Amino acid sequence: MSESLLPITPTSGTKSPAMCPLAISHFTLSNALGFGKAATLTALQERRSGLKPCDFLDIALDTYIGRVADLENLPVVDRLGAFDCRNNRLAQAALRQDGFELAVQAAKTRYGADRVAVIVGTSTSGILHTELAFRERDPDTGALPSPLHYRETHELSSAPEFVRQYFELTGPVLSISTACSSSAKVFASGWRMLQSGLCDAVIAGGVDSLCLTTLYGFSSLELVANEPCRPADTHRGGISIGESAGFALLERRPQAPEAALGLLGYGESVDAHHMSTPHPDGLGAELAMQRALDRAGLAACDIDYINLHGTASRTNDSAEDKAVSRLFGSDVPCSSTKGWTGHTLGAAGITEAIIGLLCIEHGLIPGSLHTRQVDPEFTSHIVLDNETRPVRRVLSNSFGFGGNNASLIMGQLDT
Amino acid sequence: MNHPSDAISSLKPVYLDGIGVFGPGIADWSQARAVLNGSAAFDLDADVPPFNVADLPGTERRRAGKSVKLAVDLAAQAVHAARIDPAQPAAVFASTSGDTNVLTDICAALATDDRLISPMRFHNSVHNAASGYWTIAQSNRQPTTAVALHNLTASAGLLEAAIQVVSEQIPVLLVIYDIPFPPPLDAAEPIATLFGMSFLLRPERTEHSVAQLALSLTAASESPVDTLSDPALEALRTGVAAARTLPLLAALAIERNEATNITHTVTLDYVAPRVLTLDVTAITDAVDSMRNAS
Repeated sequence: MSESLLPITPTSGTKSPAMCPLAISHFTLSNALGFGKAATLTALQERRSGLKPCDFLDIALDTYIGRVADLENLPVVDRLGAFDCRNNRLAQAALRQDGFELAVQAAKTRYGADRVAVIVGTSTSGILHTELAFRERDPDTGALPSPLHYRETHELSSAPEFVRQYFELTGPVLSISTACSSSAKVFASGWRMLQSGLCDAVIAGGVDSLCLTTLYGFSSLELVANEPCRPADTHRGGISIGESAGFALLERRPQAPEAALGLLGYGESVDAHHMSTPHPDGLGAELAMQRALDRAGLAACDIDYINLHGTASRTNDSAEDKAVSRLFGSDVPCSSTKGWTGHTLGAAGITEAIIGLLCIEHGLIPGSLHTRQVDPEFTSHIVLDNETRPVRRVLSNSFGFGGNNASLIMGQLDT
Repeated sequence: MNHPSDAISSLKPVYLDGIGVFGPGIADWSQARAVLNGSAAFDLDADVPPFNVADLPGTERRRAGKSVKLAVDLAAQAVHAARIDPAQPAAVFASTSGDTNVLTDICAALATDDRLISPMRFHNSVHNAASGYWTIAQSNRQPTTAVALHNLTASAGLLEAAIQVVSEQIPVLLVIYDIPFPPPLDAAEPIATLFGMSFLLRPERTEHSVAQLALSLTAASESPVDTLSDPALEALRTGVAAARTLPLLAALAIERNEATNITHTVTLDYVAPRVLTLDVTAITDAVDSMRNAS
């Protein structure tokens, strides 16, 4: 029980120590492509995008969005009614797919309710609930409708607390909110939590849902495309915003010997450059990827596919290409899957980690959707058409405002 | 259903090398210490001192909101007290709602007809704004995270930082900070005042270590959450999520000498039905000289 996941190599210098892989025993994903991971896999295989002209609420922006259908009709369970908001509806919808509930119940039975942790990443939590409440302010006093249920819907731990109460768990809980790297970092915190011995399983996930703040905010930065986003394209014109929820059950390998897939490494860094623009040469991105490789004890040639952050913003894709090229040259196939899901912001990390797992399970390298002509300045190997071939290890990048970077390596677990 | 009897509920101890505190009438650890020792009175309504944001470059100083300035002041206090290169530690920034002013401004603007929000306000709205400004100021590329857990944010931040120290064997800067919501959100989510604290934690003892902290998750039935006898300080503890660490700061504030150098156990609230207990052992110069002699 107390076997350490810490490797033999001591921490020294700047190199991240190699780590023992963590079992990813179950996972689930819901987004604009549909509920459950099969919906995402099928859309990837059929090259069918989830992006559509913006039809969210009364928002009149000339852009495409990845909206999850029917959330309006899927309230959260009655006993957690105070938590009801779009963000938690999306979280609940995801939890109910892919047998994930059963897997959590089994972990709870096996380890105890206090030994299962919940770590969820989100950028804006349920801010839509508060945004809409501001439209209902009392014209005389300015007061908001009451009760607002701010803690249950909007405070940043709304989603992890909802998940915890949904499963009636009492283990450690944490919300991580580092913009668009949030739900990649849950894997790092989850690994450390398991390594510390304070829990035996971690529900690591992420959820971010459509709201006015991000749609109008990214518009104010002139980062939103007026067509479905075209990652790495010469004529890329910005991002398409999406919404998504995904969860993974992490366990130590000896306790999940049947798990075929795992987390092999993670790397975290910051750019220390600018609040909303990446370092032009991708120095922080390179550092995150290098740290992930070091932790996994892998070399660049061991990676079969890189799922890029690839937002289709001019600066992100260019900086990321430079960083990837320096580390991986021009041989490792790379693509962004944001042409399918849109940029799901705080949920991008978990969304693309799970896409990476699906690519390994099904031997798929998805070619970048909507990308017609790769930017001639780019030197990494951007794949445009789907390829079917064995994929053993995937690196996934997630970079956010504040220069916050996280890279994950998922892979087949050797038996 | 029950977990194995050898289930681990304690972390390997970490070392505390630097402390920062900021709040009404409190600009640093020495002023906080006087208040917590009872040698100075605390007034929840006292003026908040000016922020010391000398570490921020001019451009960032102009762009930063109040919560960022609070967090940067606290971060600088802890790293300077610990005599560590500010580019070296990883960082955990913990706050329940981050920049409540920016959040309120954005929600208000989005309820108007034109729905225009400024780009700067938007990028300042992310929960990791403070860590962004801090790492830019210090050219620090180490991992930084931003976390929240409502009223349990302080305990969650302490736990995340200590786990990072133990698991990664690296120094970690922990900054816990909150500012109140302006109207109308203050009615839905009351935060009594502006308050924050910071620690620089290390995996090994250094010549600057002031205490050893051993964190455990314990049954609440075995260890009730500590409160403060001074009503004003207790109002601060219960009124601001970031101030839930006050019993820990109070234990650290006790003047010690060799004879009284014992371990104090502090209990902070955490996810029910468990609490976060910390065994706090002060490291005094007297202990240092004894160890050096032996």
